[in-house]
Amino acid sequence: MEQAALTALGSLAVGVVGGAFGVGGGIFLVPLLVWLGHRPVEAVGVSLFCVIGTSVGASSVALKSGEANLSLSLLLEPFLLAGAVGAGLVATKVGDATLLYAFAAVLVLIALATASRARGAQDLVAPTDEPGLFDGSSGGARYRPQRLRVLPPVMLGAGVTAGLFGIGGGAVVVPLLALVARVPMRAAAATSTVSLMVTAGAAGAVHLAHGTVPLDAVAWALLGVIPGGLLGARLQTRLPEGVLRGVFALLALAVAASVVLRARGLS
Amino acid sequence: MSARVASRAVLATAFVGGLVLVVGAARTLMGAEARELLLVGAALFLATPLARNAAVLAREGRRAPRLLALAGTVALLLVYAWAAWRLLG
Repeated sequence: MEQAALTALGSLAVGVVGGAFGVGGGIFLVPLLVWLGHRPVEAVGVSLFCVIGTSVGASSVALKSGEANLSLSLLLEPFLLAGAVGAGLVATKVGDATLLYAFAAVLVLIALATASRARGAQDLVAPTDEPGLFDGSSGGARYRPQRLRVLPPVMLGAGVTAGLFGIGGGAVVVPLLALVARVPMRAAAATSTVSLMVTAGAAGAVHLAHGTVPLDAVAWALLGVIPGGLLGARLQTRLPEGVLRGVFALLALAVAASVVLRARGLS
Repeated sequence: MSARVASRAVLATAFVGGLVLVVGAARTLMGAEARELLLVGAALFLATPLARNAAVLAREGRRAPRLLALAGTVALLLVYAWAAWRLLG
């Protein structure tokens, strides 16, 4: 009973944070579940299901606000899915401590990438008169995503990260969309929120087939993550981009440090 | 299908799946066997991305996004079919 309550309450906080940053919450949920006694690979499985839950709530808000670029999201999804499924197939073969060390390394990279974007983040390319399929608008300013040919392999890599670490891809997809495709941070977060559902669904099914998803833990986590995600998505549209970036980078670094401590305990 | 109806269908799929999962988890907490109920809940919950894609297909008029949504749906169905075969086979 106590474990169920802790999972639900912890997931509520994770849902708010995940919805606000458009990351699905996985990067914070996996460490939480490991602290609560789950094996890392089980935490990844639970997290993938919760990413779907967060994405359901947050993506409806993101689409309604007009920030989510649905066409771009649909373009990214097959590549994210392929990477996530491939990684999900090998995730059970990776040792617990190894998985956590790798998870911490990814968190540090994500934090650095997010923080480094402070220099030229708003170097947007406005669309020409001729309408483009992937054109979007963010905060009233129109933009055209760049380097679309580079995005598929990049998203394949992001999908691998999602399937292996249960982070849905948002924590990776958001900075990559901003850095590679020059999509505004807020639109990138909203678009990734929409993409996460399919990525997490595919990887979650693979983990379920491997028997590494404790479904009762999924239920308690969902009870917290879904309302939290709805609340977080509303914050996403209200917080300034600079604040989003800074807080996200700091949180990711703090969680990485705690994951390393846990991995040392396991090894 | 209007955008509102499509959005509600996606939310309803996730809600029902989540509800079945919670009922299953509550039964487990009380010491009862609920594996099948939990699996049904998980299957319903995993149907959410399919519902989302169906909603996109229903309301999107442009050819390219429809094709992209269709490709994503087929890929997802293939993964789900493999997972179901492994779980039930």
